[in-house]
Amino acid sequence: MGARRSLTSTQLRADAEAELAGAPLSEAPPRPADELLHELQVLQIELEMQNESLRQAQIALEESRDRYADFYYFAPIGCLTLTADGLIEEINQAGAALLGEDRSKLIHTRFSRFVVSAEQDIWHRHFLHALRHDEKQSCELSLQRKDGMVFDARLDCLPTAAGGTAPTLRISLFDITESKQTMAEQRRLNRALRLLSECNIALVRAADEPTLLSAVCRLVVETGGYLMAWIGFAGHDAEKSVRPVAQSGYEDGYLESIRISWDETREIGRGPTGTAIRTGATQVNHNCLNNPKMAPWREAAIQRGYQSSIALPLNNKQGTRGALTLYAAEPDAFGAEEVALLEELVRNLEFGIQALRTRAKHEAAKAELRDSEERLRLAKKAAALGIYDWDIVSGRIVWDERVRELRGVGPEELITYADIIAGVHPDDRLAVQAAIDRALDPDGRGEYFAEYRIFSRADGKVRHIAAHGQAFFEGGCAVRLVGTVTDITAQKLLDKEIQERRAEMELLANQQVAAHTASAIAHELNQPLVSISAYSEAALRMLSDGTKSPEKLVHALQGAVEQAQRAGRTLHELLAFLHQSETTLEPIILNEAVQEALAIAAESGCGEFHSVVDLARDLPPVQANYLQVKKVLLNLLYNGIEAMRAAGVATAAITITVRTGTFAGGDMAQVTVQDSGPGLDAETAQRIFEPFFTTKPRGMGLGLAISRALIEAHGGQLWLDSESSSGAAFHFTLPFAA
Amino acid sequence: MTGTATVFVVDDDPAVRDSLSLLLEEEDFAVATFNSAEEFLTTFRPAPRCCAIVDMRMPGMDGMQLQGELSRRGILLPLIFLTGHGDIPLCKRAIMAGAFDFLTKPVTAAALMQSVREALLESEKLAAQAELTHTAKTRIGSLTERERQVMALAIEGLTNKEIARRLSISYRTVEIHRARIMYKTGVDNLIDLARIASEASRSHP
Repeated sequence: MGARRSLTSTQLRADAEAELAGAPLSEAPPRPADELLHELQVLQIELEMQNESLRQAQIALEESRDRYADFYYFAPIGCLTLTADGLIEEINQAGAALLGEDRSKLIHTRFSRFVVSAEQDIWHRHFLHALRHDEKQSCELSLQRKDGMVFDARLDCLPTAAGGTAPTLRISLFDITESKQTMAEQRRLNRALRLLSECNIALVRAADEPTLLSAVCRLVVETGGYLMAWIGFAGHDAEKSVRPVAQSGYEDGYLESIRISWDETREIGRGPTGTAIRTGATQVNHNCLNNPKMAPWREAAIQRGYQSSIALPLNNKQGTRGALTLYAAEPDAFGAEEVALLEELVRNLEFGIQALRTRAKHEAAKAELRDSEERLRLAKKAAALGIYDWDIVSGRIVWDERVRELRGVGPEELITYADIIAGVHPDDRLAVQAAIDRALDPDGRGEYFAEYRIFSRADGKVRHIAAHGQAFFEGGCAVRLVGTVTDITAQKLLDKEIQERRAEMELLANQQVAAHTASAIAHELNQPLVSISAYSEAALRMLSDGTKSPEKLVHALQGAVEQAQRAGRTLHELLAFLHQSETTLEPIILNEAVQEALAIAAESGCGEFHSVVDLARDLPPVQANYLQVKKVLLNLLYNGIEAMRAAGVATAAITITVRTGTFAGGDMAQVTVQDSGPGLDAETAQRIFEPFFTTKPRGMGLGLAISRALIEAHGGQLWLDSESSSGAAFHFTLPFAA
Repeated sequence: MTGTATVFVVDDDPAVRDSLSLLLEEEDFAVATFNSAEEFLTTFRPAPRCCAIVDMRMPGMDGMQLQGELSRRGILLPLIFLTGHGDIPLCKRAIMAGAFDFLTKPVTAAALMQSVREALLESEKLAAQAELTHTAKTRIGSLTERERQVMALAIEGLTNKEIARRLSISYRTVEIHRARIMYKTGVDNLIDLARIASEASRSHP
């Protein structure tokens, strides 16, 4: 009712008056005694009312007290009251639970026993401080529960000064382990985020891989707040060792002293770093103290304060190649989100490494290209090489400055295939086109080689050119022809000069031989001629003077006849001697003589020619003198080559065929030498075997005569094929060895 | 030009020797033949008018070598070489070395006879010269040492007075030497004396 009414004395008096007015009062005018009584009655009522009010208040108070007590005891936060002596006077259930002890056992015990020894001083100072101040004083402490577990707690302390009694300290106790961890994690995450961002900047800025790796390690330590970081790459040695390439932070010879491998079969290959490299998965080492995988390195790690670590694999497209390993000064330093951030960092790092390597490769390739271009330029310059590149599909032809210089074509002028051919000497055009056709033949090897003459468009000068090239094919079609051209004019002139010198020398030698031979012949024939002449003139004189002695006339004429016959004999002997001297016949392999003669002719420098050889296989040996057969072959080859060169045949070719021919006298080996020259006219063909007959400006005209004589001395024949359709064809036969 | 002229034929070819002999004999030359240079050197007898027809090419000693040997022996004999047409350089050398002529085989009778006749004329000249030289040598050889000294100075054109001074003898003595020199050499003037002295200095006898 009026329990909560404010019990002021005026109100109370009014209430009491109202109570009394309701009661039967005497009619008599108030008398002093009546007044006193009334007063007393009012007082009594007042007292009763007061008492009632007090009782009400008492009840309310008790209800309230009970509620507060419940609230106190069952409050979710720990509450306790400490005496000025630091003893627990009161503690609620939550508080007891936090301390891990029954409430009853806590009362009158010393609170400080739950404070970790390292913080006893902090607590003591705070306790005294809080007792003296009327405001709430907070502190954070590490408390150790009864069961030994340590947790972080916040203590809000408020002293109570109850009159003269000793003050107490009421404390609210909060377990802030979780929030503290969350905060720490948040800090670390923030740090990790900043680290990530700074690493990305480093990635962008890094000029080369070592710089980048060092920068990342440094950032991990300086920005990331980790104790130490290093990057190791997987070595491919026998030990499969992990080779540190960058490091930062407090290390104190750690990497120097330890050995790490990524070989699964070894204990040092199963640590976090080795496993990360091997498996490509992040390895978190929560606590160096109790992680069995850390056994090989535990002592060294603990010595340096490494409590936990994480190994993050650095992967590339070809597989794992390394790891970034971080060490923290706390155990369990790596939360899931942090790991995720670090993994992202490592992925960025991988990308950075890849990019730098690509860039390095690119730079190296560029440098290499520059170098090789320079080398090529020098080589080109030294060799005076020109380069051409013909895109057959588009028809685009690229000539470098050297080719343009040789061809007398300006640097900007467009070139067509027709231009190429038009610049070639008319006599060489067919050969050049044939060589190009061969190169572009999809069934061939695509090799191109041609020697030809060109006209310079600028000055009309003729140059000899050697062109090499290679055709490229796509889908069975030639699409490109690339190659080089060399100016071989000087070489050609030199060759020509050498050849002329050689020809002169040969001519001189031949002339000397001929002179000696002629001299020998002259002497042998002159002797009888002198006699014949003298005998005849003597006879003439005898006859004109009138013969005094016929015997003398007969003698003179007989002498003349004898000498004439002697001259004939001498000639026969001489020819027989020339033909048969030094001739020893033996079985020889005709094909070998052909090959050797061809080789000599090709090297002789008397002219370029293309040889086609068709040799009968398993041809039996022939009975011949090897040197003389070779000489005959060379005579025929030289004749053919010189005839073709003199006629300016574009594609000089000589075909040599060796086969078995059937003749009246039996089988003979038959050799045919055919050139692609203009052949022989009727008159030449008729006289070709005459001694001293020649079509050459400086020939002796004995080659074919001697060749025929030599072959006939072997028992064979040498003749001109009158029915040859193209070029000149000579045949000769030799008997097989018995 | 008849009678005593002798032609030597040196050739390894008997037919050449025989036919040339026949031809030369038709022209009334005396002919002696030799089948080699060696035989010629050992057996030939010099004649007052003679020449030799020599084949340039012979086995053993050839024509050039024969010429060299004759020259070495101081035999003055005109040589006519017969050569093939290839031997021209050789013949040139022979001519330079003093051969009289060379003829290319086969030789015509006319050319041969002309050459032989000219060679014989040359032979006569050579003989005369040789005679002259011989005489001069003989005459100069009869002079005393002092007389030769006086002669040499006189030929140089010195006067008797100068000669006397040069040789530190009296003028009169020089005069006596000069008279004896003229007497011994058979000349009557200084020019002839100089000629004889020159002849006598020739190497060939």
